[in-house]
Amino acid sequence: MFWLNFLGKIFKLLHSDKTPRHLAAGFALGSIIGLTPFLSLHNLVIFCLIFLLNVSIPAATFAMFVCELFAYLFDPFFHEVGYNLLVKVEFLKPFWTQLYSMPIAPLTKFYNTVVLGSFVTSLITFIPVYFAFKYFVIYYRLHLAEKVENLKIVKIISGSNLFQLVKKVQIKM
Amino acid sequence: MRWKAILVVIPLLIGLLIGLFFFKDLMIEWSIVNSLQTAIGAKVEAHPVHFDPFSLTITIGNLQITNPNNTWRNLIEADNLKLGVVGKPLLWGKTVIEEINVEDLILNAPRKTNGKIKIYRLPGPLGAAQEKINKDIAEIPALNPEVLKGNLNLEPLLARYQFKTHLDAKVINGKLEVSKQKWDENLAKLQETKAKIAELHQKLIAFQNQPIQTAADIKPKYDLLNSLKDQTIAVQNQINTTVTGYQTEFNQLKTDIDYLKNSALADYHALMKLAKLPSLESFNFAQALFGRAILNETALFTGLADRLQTMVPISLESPPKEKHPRGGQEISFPGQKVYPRLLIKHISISGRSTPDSKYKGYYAKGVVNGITSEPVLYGEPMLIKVFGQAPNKAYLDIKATLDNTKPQYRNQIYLNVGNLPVPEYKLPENKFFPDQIGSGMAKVNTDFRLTPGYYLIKMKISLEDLVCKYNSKISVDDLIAEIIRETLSGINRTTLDFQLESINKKMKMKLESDLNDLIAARFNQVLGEKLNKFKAEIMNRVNAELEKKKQELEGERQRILAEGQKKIDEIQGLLDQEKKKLEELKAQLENKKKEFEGKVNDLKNQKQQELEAEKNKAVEEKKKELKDKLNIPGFFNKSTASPGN
Repeated sequence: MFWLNFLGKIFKLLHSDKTPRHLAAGFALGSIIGLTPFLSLHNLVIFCLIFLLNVSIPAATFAMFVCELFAYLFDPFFHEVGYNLLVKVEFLKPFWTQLYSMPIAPLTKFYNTVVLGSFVTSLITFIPVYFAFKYFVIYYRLHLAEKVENLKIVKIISGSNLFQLVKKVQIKM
Repeated sequence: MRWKAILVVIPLLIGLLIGLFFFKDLMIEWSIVNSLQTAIGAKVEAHPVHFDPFSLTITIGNLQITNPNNTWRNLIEADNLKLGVVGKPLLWGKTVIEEINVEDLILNAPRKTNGKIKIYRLPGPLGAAQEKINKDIAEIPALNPEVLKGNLNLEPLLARYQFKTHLDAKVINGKLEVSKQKWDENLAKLQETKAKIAELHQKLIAFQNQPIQTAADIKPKYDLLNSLKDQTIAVQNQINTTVTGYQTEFNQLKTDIDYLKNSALADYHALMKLAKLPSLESFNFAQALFGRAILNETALFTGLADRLQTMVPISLESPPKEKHPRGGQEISFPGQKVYPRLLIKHISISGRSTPDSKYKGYYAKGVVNGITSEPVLYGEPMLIKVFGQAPNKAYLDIKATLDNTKPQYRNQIYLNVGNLPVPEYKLPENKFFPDQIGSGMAKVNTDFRLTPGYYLIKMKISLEDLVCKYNSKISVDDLIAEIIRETLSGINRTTLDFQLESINKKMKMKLESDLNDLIAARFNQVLGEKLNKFKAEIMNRVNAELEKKKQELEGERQRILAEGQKKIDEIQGLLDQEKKKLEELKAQLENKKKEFEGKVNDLKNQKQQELEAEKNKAVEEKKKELKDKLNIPGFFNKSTASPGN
């Protein structure tokens, strides 16, 4: 049921009238939340940005879900990046010390190697993720959308009572 | 921009804050319970918890921390705890508790429910030590009287036993054989020297037969003699090398034969084991029986040590990288007015219990200062000084200094427990321990020290007025179990000295007790004479086998040695003859040389005399000639000198 719903959402998302730019921006912002530890203060800001900016919320949700699934695999890498930034890069130390002594800033847990490492990584990958997803949506809509729509499995899924039911429920909501 | 989204986001945030406000107590309770349970490894209950956000005070109605070593008792139980949280550091994400006041506190109070939670085997060296102790109990020897009766008959035992002495003697015999073959070859080579000696002999004969005609023959003869002497020395060296090697090898074999006594000792122990007669003198029964229980008692300290040694930051400036910790590694940046992430400045236990409360009769007084997650940042050591007493006069006295503010941290805890009723302590279930301890008091003195890479726990447990009762029968007729039971039933006091030392994660445990001697003595009392006789019988038999094999081997060694020596002596004899001959010839040559020298001297003297005579004659003639010349007339007129002038 969950996976059916999930596949339906992706299908709906890619076939929606939203522009590739909106979808890509939503996806890129969602990837930040997905890659970094969920319960962090900076994620509250990203959430607000997703709601306030004219970006695709389903694309952001999709990115959060996908990135969250695989983020833990990169934890050792994030730890490495965070440790190097916090401990090894000497010229940044006064900045971290200043930040550590400021109110509110420590609540972001920037002093945690995985939090900082994942946040910096997600910021660096933000632009490439944005463009990659944008070009993927364009390419999909131009070359793949029709073929996917004609796939038997898609017809079965979209024609199934269950999917129609899900669709109805979603429309009503 | 979706400005309308603000209408959604703001109510959501307000909803979130309202939710937080209503569920804050539950969240704080959950966080207190979970963090304490993780640290202690037993059930922790804290209810009701109330957080007043305006006065920043947390009130805990009742706090119960289960004793992880006896989950039917609470380590601490307290009512009405008030925690005063300092507001400002919360903005930095830091929790600083200025003071916790405890008025009603019970130590070691009984629990209504079992406070056990599922914990896994302790990791690391302590886990390994636990494993070893588990094996120790299983290794306590079992002794069935029927089996013992059968085992006290030596012949059937010997019939199924292969003596190590025999096997090792066979090995040495093999070595003797190998050595004999090797030295037969070496001695055969030495036989070749016989030919050299014969050749030398011929040369000496030839030397002797060549007469010395003139003095000029002496020098070549000397050279020849020296050359023959060199050959003799070479042959002697060869013999000496052979003899030294031969004797060294056979002396080594003698050492091997002497070492057979070790094999005999091994035979003795093996036969004792086969007879299932344990050597009780070397078995640490106290460790096997009580080691596990005491080791578990130390879990609080070892856990603390493991945690401190992995957590305590050596350097805040550039802390070493942890091996990918789950959830990341938190780095501190010390600066001005930087708080530790958690700090409880002061806990005071007043010692004033509420009248008519359930805590009547309990007494606790003390202070705890400086509990913190980052001691280096706080800069002051943690000090604990607590005394607690139960209505039954059982007391607990803790004095501790945990100074983790410097890289060379030092922690020291003294913990004394006294008047502890032993019947309340649950012994591990096994056939050796009593089903019930009727009465008894325990006193435990613990000294725990921790420095980087090292910790030491010393625990002295004194048990007094013990009355051990056994209700259940032992299912098998196990003499050892019977003896242990008898010993434990018979004692009314004992002491256990336990020491656990960890150096760079390598753990060493020692448990000493008078129980070991008591059990061994009782064992000797029960089986006494019979067992000693049997032991002596085994020892005699083993010694007899040893002597027999030693004699056989030594005889063979001596025989081979004598054989070889005979051959060497024969060659040495031949060489000695030639040496003697050589010396004789040398003496003859010396004599001949002297003879020639005499002749030369005579000739020299004769010639000298002849020369002297000729010289004198010539002088005389010259004188005469001069005299004649001087007699010429008128010659002396020119001079007045006499002819003698």
